[in-house]
Amino acid sequence: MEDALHDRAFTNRLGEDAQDTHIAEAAKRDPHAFGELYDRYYTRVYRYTYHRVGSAADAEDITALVFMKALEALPSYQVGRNGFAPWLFRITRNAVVDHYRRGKRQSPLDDLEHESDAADPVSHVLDTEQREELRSVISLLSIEQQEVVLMRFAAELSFAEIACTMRKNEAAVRMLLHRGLRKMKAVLDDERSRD
Amino acid sequence: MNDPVTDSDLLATTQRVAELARRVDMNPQHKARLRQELLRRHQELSAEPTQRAAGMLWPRLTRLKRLTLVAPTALAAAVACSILVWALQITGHQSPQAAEAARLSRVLSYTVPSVTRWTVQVTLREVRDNAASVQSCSVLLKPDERVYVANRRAYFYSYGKWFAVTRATAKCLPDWQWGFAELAVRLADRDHPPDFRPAGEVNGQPAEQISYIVNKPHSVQVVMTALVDKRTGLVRRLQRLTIESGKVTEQASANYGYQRMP
Repeated sequence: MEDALHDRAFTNRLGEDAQDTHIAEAAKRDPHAFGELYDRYYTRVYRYTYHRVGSAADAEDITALVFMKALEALPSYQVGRNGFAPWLFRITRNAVVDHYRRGKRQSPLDDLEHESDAADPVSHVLDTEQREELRSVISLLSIEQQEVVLMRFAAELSFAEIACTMRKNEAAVRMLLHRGLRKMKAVLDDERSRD
Repeated sequence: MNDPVTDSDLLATTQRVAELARRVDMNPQHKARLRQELLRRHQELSAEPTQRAAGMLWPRLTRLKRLTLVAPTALAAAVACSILVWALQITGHQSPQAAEAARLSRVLSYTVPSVTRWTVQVTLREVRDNAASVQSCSVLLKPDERVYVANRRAYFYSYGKWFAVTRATAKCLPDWQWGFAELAVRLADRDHPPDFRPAGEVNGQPAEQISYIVNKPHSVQVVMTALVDKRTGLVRRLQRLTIESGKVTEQASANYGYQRMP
């Protein structure tokens, strides 16, 4: 939890990003290196995508497209220009935009059909309710605020990485996150007071 | 503005959102299958040095906005090859390329009906606004459905009815779904005979690169390049370059995967 909250905790990740950049260079020739990048980023890409599109099936399709596209585009990735994470998340962001352009929005019912790992039905219902809670609160934010919130908490990117991905400065990213969280707090507090 | 990560007023909300954002069920089978597919595709790309090199060249050129310098060269090379093949044909000899076209047509006539499922993944790049998009589709034939290649034409058989394979019979990605069946038609085209070049190996099998030009109205020319498995004749990768008035306006490529009857 702390990792997602404090930028200081991203220090290790920054070190990891330097490693990722070297692995990405090796991955241009070595499939195992590409496999390592995949293992490092699958969960983060999937989580970000899932919260953006709201359907497990669509999130799986988009995640597959993102990595296929990254593999195809890897020769054009230039080490040292930008970090690997911003490069990959720009592909992810574009894939989500393409998904909406094609009008492939799924109804929320699709997601309820997604099977949970939880063995007992009660946990499954609780998990689903919590996902719905996040989705309903996030949907009230502007697209840019949604992107920042999800890049920060679902994809676990640092402010610098988010800024690079969105081609904004860090101050603007912090401002978007702050405003997004304020809005979410107001909604959550309001819901709690009604309960 | 308070910093969102140190603002104590927002701490509880931040913690709640972070917790919910991380709580997502994932399908481990999807992760494993995709990993396997990516590694296979990586090996495939490594076996295509020409394709890979071209892939590296295009982005550089896009940045330099000098695509128009390359397109006429590619076009001129393709036209020169066509003229050479045509010249050989009118002398009455069957060129090695014509012989290879005939061989591949024969191979296709027995491999294509064994295909039961195929996937197509298309990457499209609009040169004008430098935008790219990726689309994919998967076609699964029903038990009594087959694709046939006969008399250098492709046909779709579905529950007792025959259909000529055209864009109209495609269920998805009309320009690309029948890409492998379309090759049979192009191999038979005597007006614009395709150009053959060896292309190393794909999936451990020898492959060749087949190029042909499609003329469209309003000074539009389309140069297609197929990477074909020599053993099965099946298209593994298809690239399309659209040229309008000597300028490349669009480039696209499609990767094909097949499932065949044992």
